[in-house]
Order: sequence, then C-alpha cells, then structure tokens
Amino acid sequence: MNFVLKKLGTLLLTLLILSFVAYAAFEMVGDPVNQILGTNASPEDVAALRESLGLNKPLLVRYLRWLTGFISGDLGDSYIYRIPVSGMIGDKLGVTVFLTLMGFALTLLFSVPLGVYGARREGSWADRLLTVVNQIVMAVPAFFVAILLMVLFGVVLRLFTPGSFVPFEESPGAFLLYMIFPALSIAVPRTAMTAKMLRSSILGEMQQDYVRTAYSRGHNRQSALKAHAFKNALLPVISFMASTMAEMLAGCIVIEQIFSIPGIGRLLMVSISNRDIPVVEAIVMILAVWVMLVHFLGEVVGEMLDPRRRA
Amino acid sequence: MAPESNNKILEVRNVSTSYTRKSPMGQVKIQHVLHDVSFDLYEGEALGLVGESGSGKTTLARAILGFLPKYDGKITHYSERPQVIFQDPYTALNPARTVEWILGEPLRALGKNEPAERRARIAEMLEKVGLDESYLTRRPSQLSGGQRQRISIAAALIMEPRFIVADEPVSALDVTIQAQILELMARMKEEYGLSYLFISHDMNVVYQLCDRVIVMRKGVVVEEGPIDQIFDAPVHPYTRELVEASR
Amino acid sequence: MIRKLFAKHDNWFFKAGFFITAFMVLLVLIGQIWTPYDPAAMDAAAKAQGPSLAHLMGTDYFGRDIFSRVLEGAGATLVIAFFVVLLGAGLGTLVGALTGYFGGVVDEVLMRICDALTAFPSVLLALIILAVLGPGRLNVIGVLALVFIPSFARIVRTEYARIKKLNYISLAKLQGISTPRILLKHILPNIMPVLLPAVSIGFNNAVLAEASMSFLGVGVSASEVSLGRMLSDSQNYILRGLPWYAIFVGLTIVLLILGFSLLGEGLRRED
Repeated sequence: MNFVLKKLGTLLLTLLILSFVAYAAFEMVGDPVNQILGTNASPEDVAALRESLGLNKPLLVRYLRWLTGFISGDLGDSYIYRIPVSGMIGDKLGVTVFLTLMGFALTLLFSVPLGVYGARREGSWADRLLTVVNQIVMAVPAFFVAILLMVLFGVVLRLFTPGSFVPFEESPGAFLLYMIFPALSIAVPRTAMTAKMLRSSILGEMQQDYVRTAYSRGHNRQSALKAHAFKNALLPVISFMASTMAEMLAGCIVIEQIFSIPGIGRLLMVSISNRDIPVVEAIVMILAVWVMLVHFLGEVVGEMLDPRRRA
Repeated sequence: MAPESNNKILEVRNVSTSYTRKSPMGQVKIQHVLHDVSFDLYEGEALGLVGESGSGKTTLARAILGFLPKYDGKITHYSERPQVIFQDPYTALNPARTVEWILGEPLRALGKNEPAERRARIAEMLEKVGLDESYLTRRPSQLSGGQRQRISIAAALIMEPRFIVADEPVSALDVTIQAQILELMARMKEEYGLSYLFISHDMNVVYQLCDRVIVMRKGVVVEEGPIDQIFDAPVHPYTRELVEASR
Repeated sequence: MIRKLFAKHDNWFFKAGFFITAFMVLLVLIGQIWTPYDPAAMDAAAKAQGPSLAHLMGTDYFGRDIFSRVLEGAGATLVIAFFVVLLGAGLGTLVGALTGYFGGVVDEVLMRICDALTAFPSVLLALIILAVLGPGRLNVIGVLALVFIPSFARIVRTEYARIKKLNYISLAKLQGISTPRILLKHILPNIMPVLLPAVSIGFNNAVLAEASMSFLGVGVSASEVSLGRMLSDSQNYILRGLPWYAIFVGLTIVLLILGFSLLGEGLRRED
C-alpha cells in the first residue's frame, strides 16, 4: 500500500512538472491573436481579444487557471473554432482509446501463445522459424503494416473502403470491421516484440534454481513451466506491456492518419498545423496522463505479482 | 627478523571507522569496522596483516591506499604513493587492453612519452616477472591466473614504488602458482628494497614472505610481533587458533 | 576491426544485419553519385507507371522515376539518422559517463528526469517538440537527438557506475592517471559491448522516427526529401489503385530498419 501511495505521489508530481513545461512551451509558440484576427486588425480589436482570452495575465496565473480548469474538466476554448475543447475531443478520445485497447488485446492474444510455444519447443525448427519471423516482423513499422493491409484488403480484396470510417453509433458492425485493420497494424510489430520478450523471459526463468529443483522432484518439463516459471516470467513482460500501451498510443497518431480515423491523433495533427494551442495542450496532457497512468498500473501489477517483493 | 632500517615508510595512528545502520525496529546500531588501529611499517620490511574475513583488514588497506573517504585517526606516508596488488587477478587488469598498454599506462602518467623508451622498460619489467615479450600483445582474457598476477606485480613495480600493499595476492591461485608468486615477490623485495603490507587470511602464506605480523580480529589488533615469535609462541587465543589451523 | 567483430559475434543475426546494412549503405552511396534518372526530371510520357525494366519502382504522377527518388530520399534519411545517433549517443554517453562515474545529487536528479522521459514514447515526445519548433531537417535532427539522449545516458551510466568500482580503475587512480583519461581510455572501451548494440538500435529508431515525423508533416519541410516525406506523398496513390510507390518506399524503410535491428541483436549476442 505504501508503495502504491509513493508511486502515485511520483506520478502526480511528474505530471505537474510536465504540464507546466508543456504549457510554457506552447505559450512560447506565438501570439494567437494575429492568428485569429489576421495581421491587419485594429488595435482595439486586438486588445479586446487579448482580454477575452486572458493573455494579458502573467504566465503562472494563466497556467494555474488552465490547470484548475483541466482538473475540473474544462479544457478551454479552441482559438480557431471558438468552441469548448472538451466538446471537440469528446468522442474522438473514445475512438483512439478503442483503437489502442483493441491493438493491445490483439497483441496479447497472439504474443502469449507464440512466446510460450517458442519457450516450450526451444531449439526446435518451429522455434527457430518463429525467431527468424519475429526478428523480421519487428522491423516492419506499424505504418507499413497499415499500408500493406490497406493495399491487400482495401484495394485488392475490397473487404473495406479505405478512408470511409463509419462511427460506432451509425453501425457497430461496420465500425468494428473498419477498426480491425488499424488495430492489426499497431498490433503486428508489437506482437513480435512481446513474443520474443516472453520467450526469453520464460527461458531465463527456467534456468533458475527453484525450477531445477522442481525438475528433480519429478515434475515434468511442462508442469514445471506452468507451476513456476510462467508467473515470474510475466514480471518483465508486464512492464514491457505498459510501454506497449504507451507506444501504441503514439502509433495511433500515425495509423489514424493513414486510415483517416477521426481520433485525437488526427485532431492533434490538424490542431498543430492550425496552431490551435488550447486543443494541442489539452491533447498532449491527456496523452501524458495516459502514458504515466499505464506505467503506474504496470508497476503496481508487477509489485503485486512479485513474491520476492511482497512481504 | 628485525626491520632492516629504522626509516619509517608508513605510520598508522588510532585509525577507527564505523558505519551506522538501522535495524528493522528503527534502532540505530553502530558497527565498528576498525577500532583504534596503530602500527608502523619500516623500509625494506614485509609486514603481514592477518585475520579472517570481516576482520577489517581490507578496509584498512583501502584507508591506506586513500580509497576510504572517511575515517578517524591519522595515516602518514613517508614514501610517494603506494602501489597495490589485488587478490582477484580477473578484475585487476583492464580487459579491453593489451599487456603492453596496461604496463605502458603508468609510464605515460609519469611523462615517459617516448614509445621506444617505454617499450624497452616494459620488456625489461616483463622479464623481471618471468614473462617474455610474446606477452606484450596479449589481453588479460588470454592469460592464466598466475600470469595475470605477474602482470599485476609488473604494473605495480613499473612505478618504482618503495611500498606495495598486497591484498590477498595469492589466495585466488592454486598452491604451486602461489609458491611461484611468493618467490617472485620476495625476490623483488630484495632487488628493489621494497616494503610490503601483505594482507592474508593464511598464516602459511604470511610465514613464507613476512618479517613481522599483525593479527586483527573484528577491527582490533589483537597481537603484533616478529614472525617467528608469533608462530612459536602465540599469546592471544585467536592467534593460536590461526597458527594451529595453518599447521 | 570488422573481422574482429565477425569473430566475436558469430551468429546469423550479425551476419544478416551486416550484409543488409552494407547493401543499403552501398546503394545509398551510389545514389549520391549516380541515379538511373534525375530524381527531379519529369516525363510527361511516363506518368504513374507500375514497375518495369525502364523504371524499377515505377513513376509518380509527374513521371519522375521512383527508384531514383527513393535512392535520394534514403540518403537524406540516413544522413538525418547518422547525425541523430552521433549527437544522441555522443551527448548521452557524456552525460551517462559523468553521472555514473561521479554519482551524487546531480546524478540522482538527472536520472529521475531520464526515467520520466523514457516513459514517454520517443516518437510522441519528438512530435510534440517539433510541433512547437516547426518542421525542417535541422529541427528533426536536433529534436530526435534530444529525445534519444536519455536512453543512451541510462545505459552508459549503469556501465560507468559498475566499472568504476573494479580493481583496475582503483589501480589506474593509484598510478596517478588523470580522471578524463580514466573516463575515456580506461572505461569507455569496456562499455563497447553495450554501447555498440545501442548505437545500432539507435539507427533503427532514428530511421523509424524520421519516417513517422515526416509522414505526419512535422518532420522535414515540404521542399526537402526523405523517405517519410515520400511515404506521405505515396498515400494518395494507394486509394487510386497505384500501391507500388508506397510499397517500395515502405520496403526501403523496412530494409534499413531490419539491417540495423539485426545488427543490434547480433552485437548483443556474444556467440
């Protein structure tokens, strides 16, 4: 419990520092007033806009106001569209989270059996083939998997139409069919990495003394593997899975772009090119919270599973 | 055997060191590693420092070599910096470098920048420790334990020190190699008029090389005297135990 | 030196990685001197063609030879990756060596920052900073180098902290060898088994990051070439039923990354 509180404290502190750095950096990007009004606006209009956007206050005051807003769910207004950012992000966040979770689920689904199989049949031709394939697949970036899937299933087989995303509310079936390809794209390289990691982790664990002892007590290889090694072998894999979650979020930004999925990644890129700072700030903070939270959960789960640390 | 001269090389006075640690209950415990240790080392003398592991002898060696950041008492050197021969010949030599580089490094530090001069000196030193020039291009991983210890001795001697601290220099070696290395150390002592502080847990080894012995136990000097006296008439029960064990 | 590396890493990862990387680098070098066509030359008679003997990877809408453009783009991407790794690994090694060797409060603080930073996917971090700075080749190099520093610093720090306690370093201190010389000549050669694979993986990540950044439009500017930039262009071709452009650019990226990742894996294995 102590451990959890301590980690939670570090998490909040890191987020606080990060949010300030990010806020200050984006404030430096430039004055949004010119952006909104154009360069030939009257000084009165400029002053009025500055007032209404709160730009005439010192940085720290603006940051604190933004932070309290962020915590209470008020993400400010978009400079460009003059509507609340929370409204703009709303369902887009849902789409991105869905995509990430689906990619994560697919990764787990494929990597665990592959990793365990490789460890069980260590040195067999199947294991060797798997190692080679893994090593190659790891080198294929998610965006290229996406392009290949799009060409194969979209252009050649015409299973779906690239670029015609269907929202969940319109047709859950069509939504799922469309999302399976982007989810696969982010899952494929990560599956290879996770399987490799799990395999070597299990094999490393099998070398440990306690597993050897289990052998000598007459367990066969399979039950020794199940009884002892698997749980401990999961430990490093769990922290790897946490970074997988974080990486997948980053991967989503590219994948959403390729498949024209209206998630927050796409919104982020549009807002960056529009210099719509409040939207960018909000999305960056949401991504940061997501990444830190995932690592936090990974550490807590790892702590709970680890018998050596559990007193 | 008496010291060969009355010139002091090293003076250790009232050296103590301890560390505090917290027990799980939260009490602070003070653990003495060295307690009020004093002794002198004279020119040309081989002083044995004997004790079991945990007696504080390695900590004392670290203090003398200047690797211990904090201790009470005073350590005075009357020679230039001492050199050291370590127990573990596997971590004493830089694994990424050749023997020539390893032996050349102290020379470079001394400002001997002429490669030919350096090479001649290294070759001479190698010969002194019983190795030939074919070893120049070898790396530590291509040497046996005994050969590594010979290189360690050469590296220490190439600085032309008057005082060498040897921390269990032979305890990682097997018996025949031990005898060879001890013999080499004795010969070098005669040739260069060296002083040794020879740290060991093994009375037998100390007997082969040392003139005088200090026995330490749990950070305290329990007995001190010429080697023959310690062997023939040990006073402290712990010394007797050590001598018995070595027979 | 290469022969020594082959002797030390006698595994198929290293061999395959070495040959793929050597092949790609050679191709790129040739591309700097000679390309089948002028990468910028347009040919109205050969617009948007599939692969053929005349145009190995086909042509784009302007009739430009894609193979020639891929050679040029791969060169630009490799140059970016080279400087990213040079700066990232160089500064990371400097920071890691100093903090690992000296320890203390600075070490503690810097490592905490590194920990927090490495939690973030480097692509995400680079994307955000580039969003602030704006696109451009130099910005990409600077930002990617910056986000790569922590991972190198961490690896190097651990090694320096481990090796400084070994006897041969104590010995070097007693021999009166200066601290810079100990850091550079006594410890650095001993961290190569750890640093070399990290550098190789660094190239892997740099190529990937450049491609992602430029693909998203925050990488190199619109007037500059790079594989990521071309990948972004090639997207329009897919929907119109012309997938070759994207596939060839993508394959080039895959081959580069595969070479470096195999090399990294091979260098990590000591047999």
